Amino acid sequence: MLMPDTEPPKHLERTEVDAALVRLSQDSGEMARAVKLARVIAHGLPAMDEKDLLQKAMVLLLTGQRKWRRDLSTLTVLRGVMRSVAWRTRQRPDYVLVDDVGAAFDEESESESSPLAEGVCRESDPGRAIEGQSELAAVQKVVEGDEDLELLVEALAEGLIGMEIATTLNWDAKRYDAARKRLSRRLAALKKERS
Amino acid sequence: MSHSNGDKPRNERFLDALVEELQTMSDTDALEGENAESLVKLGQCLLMSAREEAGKLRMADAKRKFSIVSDKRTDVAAYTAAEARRYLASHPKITLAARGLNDLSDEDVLDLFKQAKSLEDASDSCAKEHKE
Repeated sequence: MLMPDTEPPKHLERTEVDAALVRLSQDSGEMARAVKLARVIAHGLPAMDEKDLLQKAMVLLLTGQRKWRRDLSTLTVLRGVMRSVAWRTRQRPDYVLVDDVGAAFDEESESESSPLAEGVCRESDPGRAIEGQSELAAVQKVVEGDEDLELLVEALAEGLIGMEIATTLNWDAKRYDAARKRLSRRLAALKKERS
Repeated sequence: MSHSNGDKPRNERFLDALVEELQTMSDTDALEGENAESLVKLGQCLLMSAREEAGKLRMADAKRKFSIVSDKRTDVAAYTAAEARRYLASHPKITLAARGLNDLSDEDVLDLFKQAKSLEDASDSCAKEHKE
């Protein structure tokens, strides 16, 4: 099918990926979000912390082994790539970053249109489900003892977001904001508990 | 607003919702427990290392592809005119007219052979890329 000349490609070009990563790296708020998410996903990984995971995700995006869908946010793209790396690392603990051309080609075998290549994880893979449970379990563990945070994490696991959580839990906005801020702080502490 | 992901496992829903929460919270909240300056330094450091690694991987990939091309070229050059005639005579995609091989010089046969091989390699390569 012919595409109109004006329509942009579905995925970011290499230079656009680089520019997006530069923006991420220079924005402390965005970096905080990315690092916190990386901490959750990297939790329990053998020989890989959130920094390694984030760097590996950057490499895969820069080489084009993982595509960056134009309509997805930076954090959503990173979530998909980091989960994929985490999954591979759990399957193959010797999965390394440098001189790993074989692994690079393995990753290319996932078609460009596959959800995994576009920053969205496969849902049907039992291995991923188990891995994900451990991520949720990690966060549940880190919020243990704070009843509001336990409820907040439970609500997130039910797929609720924003004021929907407050409404469901019968909280006012202030209580919800305070809980969310504490969750953010606990995610920062996740690193310290790991080391 | 909740996602239309009721059939997803809890962990997937949790990660989706966590991403959403992180994205909608203010920078101040996102930075809770973090050092903004260190994060920017970390970001720049990670990106610099990632660019370096990406360059190495691209170089290794280019070397690998180049070595495959070199091998193919060597293969073609290693054929004799007699072998090239046998190959062309038995090739199903070469037309009958082109199989009047006895009328062609050795040089022409080798030239035709090279063209056939390069078309075959290009076709294999396209099929492989399409499959990937």
